[in-house]
Amino acid sequence: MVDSKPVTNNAVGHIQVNSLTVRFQRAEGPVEVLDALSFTVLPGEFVCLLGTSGCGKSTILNALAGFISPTEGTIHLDGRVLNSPGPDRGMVFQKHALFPWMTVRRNVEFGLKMARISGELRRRVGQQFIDLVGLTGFENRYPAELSGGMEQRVGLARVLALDPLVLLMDEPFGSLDAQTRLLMQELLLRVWDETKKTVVFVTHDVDEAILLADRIIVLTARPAGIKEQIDVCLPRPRSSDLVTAHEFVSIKQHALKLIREESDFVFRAERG
Amino acid sequence: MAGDLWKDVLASCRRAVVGYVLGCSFGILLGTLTGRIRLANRVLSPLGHVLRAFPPVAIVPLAITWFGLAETSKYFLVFWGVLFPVWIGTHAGMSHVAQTYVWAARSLGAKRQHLFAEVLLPASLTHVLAGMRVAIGICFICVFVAEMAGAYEGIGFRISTSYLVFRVDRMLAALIVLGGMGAISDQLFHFTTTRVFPWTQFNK
Repeated sequence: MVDSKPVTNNAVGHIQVNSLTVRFQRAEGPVEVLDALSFTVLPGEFVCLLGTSGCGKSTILNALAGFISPTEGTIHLDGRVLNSPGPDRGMVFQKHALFPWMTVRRNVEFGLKMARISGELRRRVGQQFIDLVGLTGFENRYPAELSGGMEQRVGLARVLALDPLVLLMDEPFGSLDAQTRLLMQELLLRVWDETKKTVVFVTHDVDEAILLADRIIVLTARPAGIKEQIDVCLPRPRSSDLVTAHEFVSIKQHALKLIREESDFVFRAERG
Repeated sequence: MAGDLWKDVLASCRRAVVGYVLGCSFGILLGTLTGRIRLANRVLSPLGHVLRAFPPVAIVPLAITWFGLAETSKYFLVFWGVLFPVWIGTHAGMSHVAQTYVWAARSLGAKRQHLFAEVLLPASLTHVLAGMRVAIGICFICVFVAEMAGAYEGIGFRISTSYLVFRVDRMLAALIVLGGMGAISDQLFHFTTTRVFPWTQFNK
């Protein structure tokens, strides 16, 4: 499963994580969040990182995004070592990441502005992605005037406008109501189908992981390691109707069992 | 007399504006340093809090000694009064900018040198504006204090000279003008900032 030699082909969104360890210095001493984690994400693959809350899922994404540096180990994207944030990896945060001082249009155009793309071209590309996520007519609204689902659509459009190699998504639909979440999951699948980007999607929702992913990496409780990888061989395009299908349910039973073991472990540990 | 009053209003306004702009600029600069850089906070903040404790009125003799009776000492006094509330406001805003904004901007391609104008300042703007609004009131107090002690024109000068000849009517007139200037500036500030930055009014 794990490929230790970095590939050197062209920019396609091939992620290789080798023995990634992250330790934070806390007042009570060093805390190990990730323990020698290794995995690969193939170009165009949709991978979900599934784990209990607080297990370190977000830390993996933050390291992939370049926000935090690995204590040990390396992360390669298309053979190149990653050590700082960049527009080749688009991050969609859980919430409160849109710039509240910018309208929808200016939020979506922000990355283009930073890339020194100006005038008519910036406007046209921005509009294209505002249209793609179905926010036509809301260009001049501020984030505070939008619903949670609309905010996340802006967050998605904002990174897609830069045509990144990889989408990093940190429980992006976690704070949405169930109906909106389903619509957003279907929207994401549609967008992914059109753009074929590599996606690393963090979630604690088993249904969400199975519905979206090609492969689910189930994580152990902190420090996070890989408990098991599940290939999701369900046909695409997928819709939310799938959740009652026999194959879906059997994957779900297995994934729930794995998650249950980890959360039981955490629960017992917390009770001493 | 009517011509004199306008001349005084103009002189006071000039002092208010020059000192205010200087004070706000340095206050925002200082607040950004202490709010974002730990070392700057350790070194500059204790010093700032000590200096902040000196009332502007007590600075007058020193300002005149250092900067003379001309305009410089007036500007300095207003600058001194405005600096601290703007610094405190900016510091409060800058030290609480959500990490997510900075990360989001960096991953969207913003370089370090873009962060101040694109993220840090707008993200702390409500705090900065609060400090700047408090500073407007202090600004006029400082103009008045500066003009009471050694000036040849200005509303404060008008009040103090009217007092020497017991012209209560002129004192009251000048006082009303001074109060009006403060109130109008404050309302103008509020009106302008809420329209230029409508998002500061949202509750989210």
